[in-house]
Amino acid sequence: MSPPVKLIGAFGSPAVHRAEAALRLKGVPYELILEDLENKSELLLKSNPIHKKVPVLLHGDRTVCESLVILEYIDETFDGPPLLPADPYDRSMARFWAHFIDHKCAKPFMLSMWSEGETQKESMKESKENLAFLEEQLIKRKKRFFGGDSIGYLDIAACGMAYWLGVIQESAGVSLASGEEFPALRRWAEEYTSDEAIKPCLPDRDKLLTHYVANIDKYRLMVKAPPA
Amino acid sequence: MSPVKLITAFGSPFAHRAEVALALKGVPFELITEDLYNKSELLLRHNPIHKTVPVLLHDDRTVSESLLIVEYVDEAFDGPRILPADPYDRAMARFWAHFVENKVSKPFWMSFWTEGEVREGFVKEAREMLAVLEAQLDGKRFFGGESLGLVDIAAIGLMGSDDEFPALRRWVKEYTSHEAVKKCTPDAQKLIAYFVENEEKYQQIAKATL
Repeated sequence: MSPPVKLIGAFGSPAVHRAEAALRLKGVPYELILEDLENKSELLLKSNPIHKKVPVLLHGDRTVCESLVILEYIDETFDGPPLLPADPYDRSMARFWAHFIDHKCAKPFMLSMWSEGETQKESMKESKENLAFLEEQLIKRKKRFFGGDSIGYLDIAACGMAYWLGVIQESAGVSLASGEEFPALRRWAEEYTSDEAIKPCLPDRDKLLTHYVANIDKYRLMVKAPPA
Repeated sequence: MSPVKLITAFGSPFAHRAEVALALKGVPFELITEDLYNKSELLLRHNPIHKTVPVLLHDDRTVSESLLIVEYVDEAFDGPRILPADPYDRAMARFWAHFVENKVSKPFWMSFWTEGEVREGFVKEAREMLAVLEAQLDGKRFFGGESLGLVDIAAIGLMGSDDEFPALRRWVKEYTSHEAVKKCTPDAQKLIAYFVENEEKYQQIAKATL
C-alpha cells in the first residue's frame, strides 16, 4: 500500500490548488495541512528550506516542492487518468505554456491590478496579449480543455486564469477584458471550475474576495518594490 | 523523420544545454547560428513569444526553452537517460535544475556585469547559492550520480565558479572532459574574446534588469 500523502498548503493559493486538483483527479486521498504564511511552521521551513513556500507534498519520507514539479510527480507516481499527454512533443508544449503562465503572465497581471499610471496601462496591454495567446491555444485544440476531452496538466496549471483572475479583478476594481473578449477562455473557465473533482478544492469565492480586498495595500506596495 | 535543426548562438550557455542533450543521445543535428543583435526571420517565426535561442526544429515541431528542449530530447530519442527513471528522482532533478536556473544563474551572471556595491551584493548572493549546490554534489561525480543528468546540463553556465568550492571544481573538470560536452564546447579563446567584445552590451543589459 502506498504511504500516506500530506500536502502543506495555505488558503487561497492557486499553486496549492494545482497540487490538490491533481491529487483529486487521480483519486489519491491526502491530508491538507494549512499554513499561516505570516507565521510559517517548523514543518514548512524544514520541508522547503530553500524557498520556504507552499505547496509542499509529503509522500512517506519523500518531499516534493514547486507546484509544477509536484504535478508531474503526482502524474508519474499514482495510477488514474494521465495528466500529461503521452507524446513527447505534446508534453513539451504543455510544459511550455505552463511556464508561459508562471513566468510571462504573472508579473504583468499583478502590475495590471496593483500599479498605477503608465506602468498599469502597459501591463494591462501586455496581459491582454498574453490572454490572446492562451485563447489562441485553446481554440486551436478544438476541445473542452487544454488537455483535450478531460482536464490535464495545462488546465490545472492555468487554474489562476479560471478562478483567481475574476476575483482579483473584482477586488482591485480593474477589468482586464470585456464580456465579449476571450470567449473560449470564458467557456473553459466555467467548465474547469464546475468540474466535480475541481470544485471541492477551489477556495470559497466570498472568502477569497475578502482576502484580496483586505490585503490590497500590501499588494500595491509589493509591486512597487524592485525585482527580487 | 527529417533531421533535427537547432537554432543557436555563439557562446550561449542555454543553447549549449540543448546541444549537449542531442550529443548525449547521439542525435545528428544541424546548427543554425544566430546573431542575437540581428535576429533572423526564422527565429522570430519559431519563437515569437520569447525570441530567444535555443530553438529545436524537428519536422514541423518547434520546441523552445533550453530545459524543455532537454526533456523533449530525453523523451523523444533513444539513448542514455538524461532524467532518471524513478518519479521522485525526476522530481528532484527538476527541482534542482530550476534552482540553478532561477536562483543561481542570475546573481552569478550579474556579478560579472555590474560594479561596486551592486556587484558585491550579487557576489555574496551567488556564493550562498553555490554553497547550496556544493552541498548537493556531496561526493558524487555528477549531480545526476554516475552519469550526466538534467541538473549537470542546467549548471553548465557556472564555469569558473570553482575557487571556494572543491566539489564544484572537481565537477567542472568531470563535466568539461565528458565526450558529449567536448563536442559542444566553444573554443575558450574565442569565447573570452566574444565576451570582451560585447562587455558594454552586457553591462547595459545588466543595468536594465536592476
